[in-house]
Amino acid sequence: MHSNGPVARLVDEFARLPGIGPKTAQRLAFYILSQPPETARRLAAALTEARDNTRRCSVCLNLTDREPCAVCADPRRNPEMLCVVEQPRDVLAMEKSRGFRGLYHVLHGSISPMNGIGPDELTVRELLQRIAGGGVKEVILATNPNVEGDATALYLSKLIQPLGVRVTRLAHGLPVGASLEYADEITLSKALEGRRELY
Amino acid sequence: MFFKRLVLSNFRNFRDLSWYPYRGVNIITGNNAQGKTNLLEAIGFCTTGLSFRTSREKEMIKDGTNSLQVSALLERNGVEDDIIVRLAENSIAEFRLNGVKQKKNRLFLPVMSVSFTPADLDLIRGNPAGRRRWLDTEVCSFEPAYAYHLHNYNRVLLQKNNLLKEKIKTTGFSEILDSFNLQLINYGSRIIYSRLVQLGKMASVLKDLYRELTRGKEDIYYKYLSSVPLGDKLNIEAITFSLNSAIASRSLEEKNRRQALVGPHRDDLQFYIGGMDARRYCSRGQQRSAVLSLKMSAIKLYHREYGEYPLLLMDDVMLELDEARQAGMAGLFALPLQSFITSTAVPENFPRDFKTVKITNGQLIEGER
Ligand SMILES: Nc1ncnc2c1ncn2[C@@H]1O[C@H](COP(=O)(O)OP(=O)(O)O)[C@@H](O)[C@H]1O
Ligand SMILES: [Mg+2]
Ligand SMILES: [Zn+2]
Repeated sequence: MHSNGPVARLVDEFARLPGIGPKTAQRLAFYILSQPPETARRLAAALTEARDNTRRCSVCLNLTDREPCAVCADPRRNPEMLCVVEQPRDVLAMEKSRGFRGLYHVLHGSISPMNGIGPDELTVRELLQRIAGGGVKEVILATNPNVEGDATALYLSKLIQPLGVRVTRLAHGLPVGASLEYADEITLSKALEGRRELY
Repeated sequence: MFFKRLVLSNFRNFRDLSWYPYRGVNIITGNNAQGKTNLLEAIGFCTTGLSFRTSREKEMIKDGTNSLQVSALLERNGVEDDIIVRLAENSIAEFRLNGVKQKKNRLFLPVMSVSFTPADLDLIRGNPAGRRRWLDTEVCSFEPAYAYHLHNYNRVLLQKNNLLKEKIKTTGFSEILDSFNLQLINYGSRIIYSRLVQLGKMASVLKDLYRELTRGKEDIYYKYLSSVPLGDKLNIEAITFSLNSAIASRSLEEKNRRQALVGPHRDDLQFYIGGMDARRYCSRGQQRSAVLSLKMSAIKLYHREYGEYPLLLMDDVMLELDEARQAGMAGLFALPLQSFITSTAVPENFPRDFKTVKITNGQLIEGER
């Protein structure tokens, strides 16, 4: 097999994905090639379709196939409560917990100087504009309970508090050091009940 | 606690080994490069989740194979537990207690063994980082949450230093710096507090053990040298307050020098023997006794806290200790303590009964006595 042939290219593409090492990449590639051609075509079509039809919601910046996204468009949700999370997957975790009926704002990361990520790399400007636009009474900072998530929450609370909005931090009823993504549904609802005022 | 049985497979130069160690002193002899330290490392790995030798743990997998396993039948508080550690080339280490997968911290905090290697002998005259590492390890085994605070502190420090180094002109620089400083103060003051509490508990135990070991009249004590001015009061609020003002008053200097200058990462421990700064003025022998008493204090305190003794692992230090110091350890070996001691030769006049095993090229042969 040539190291730059189509099979090798497929392996390379898989290996670029997060959490997939060279061995797994190889296994995936050979699995797909061992299946009938439709398997590969279906996968390729699903990938392209998902990518082409997904963008950031103009309101909350979560990934969506509609504009605005289903949450932002839902009239039963309370627009006075805004929950700020790091990643789209955190919205999924919160939604599964069913403890929260407000709206979201997705930062797409957290402040991390060692990775060159500051406010400009996140959706902080959009968040501030949204709050300045009025109607928001409480902002819940639900960034991950780790050093970067805490730094982001502290930073945001400094910017938001002067705007006259209540700012709370999702209480750490979560297992220490765990990401929101891994929290089970019960602890997450508990954490929501126990959120505390930020200093 | 005791290892009743130890089984290795593909651990360094051991293909497979099954051993029922003695409940007391096990002396592991053999020529150089036969696997004595490897055996100790395996016991350490299975009782702390870490290698005392390397941070690249995969190098413990036997050359030419792709996974290792260490398992031990452990007796503690009269109950038998089965511990299995498995490490494969392509994944992270896996720990099981009685067949059930465990988080490393759950299983190994507090750790179940104390190791003593030639590198430890440099504790007193070596650099501050070595003393901080020693102290942090001690505190961890009495306060498992300390590991979490320390981990977060180091992370905050890394982020703060990166911010100071590169990002002075970034949007929101000073607010971001504040948000890391707040965390640095929060974790840093807990670290300093826990260190002081631990040192406080250890002081008198260490003093007594040092006297016993040296049969002398000299006293040993230490001072915690902090980058934060600390008063006499030992409470978290006071430390938080001091750390906060120290950071505030040196913030300009930190910006100019582009690094974090205040906090427990800059602190040190100074030892005194007979009133003299041990690092500068004491003999190699006095320093050695000091280190030995420190290790023994840790074991005593461990027992006081948990009602059990950890395993003691001594690598190549026995022959480095003269007969008087070996005799000074008689009290330690009289305790119901299981120890594993490597040595190229069987020590003469060892103060307690013991059993020997001989390691030759990754094979273990039980000895007499
Ligand atoms: N991953 C490994 N696979 C096989 N052999 C190893 C491995 N790591 C170390 N060794 C061997 O172990 C021996 C050293 O063992 P060690 O326990 O340090 O010796 P000593 O008996 O002097 O304490 C060396 O011969 C070395 O080649
Ligand atoms: Mg050795
Ligand atoms: Zn939306």
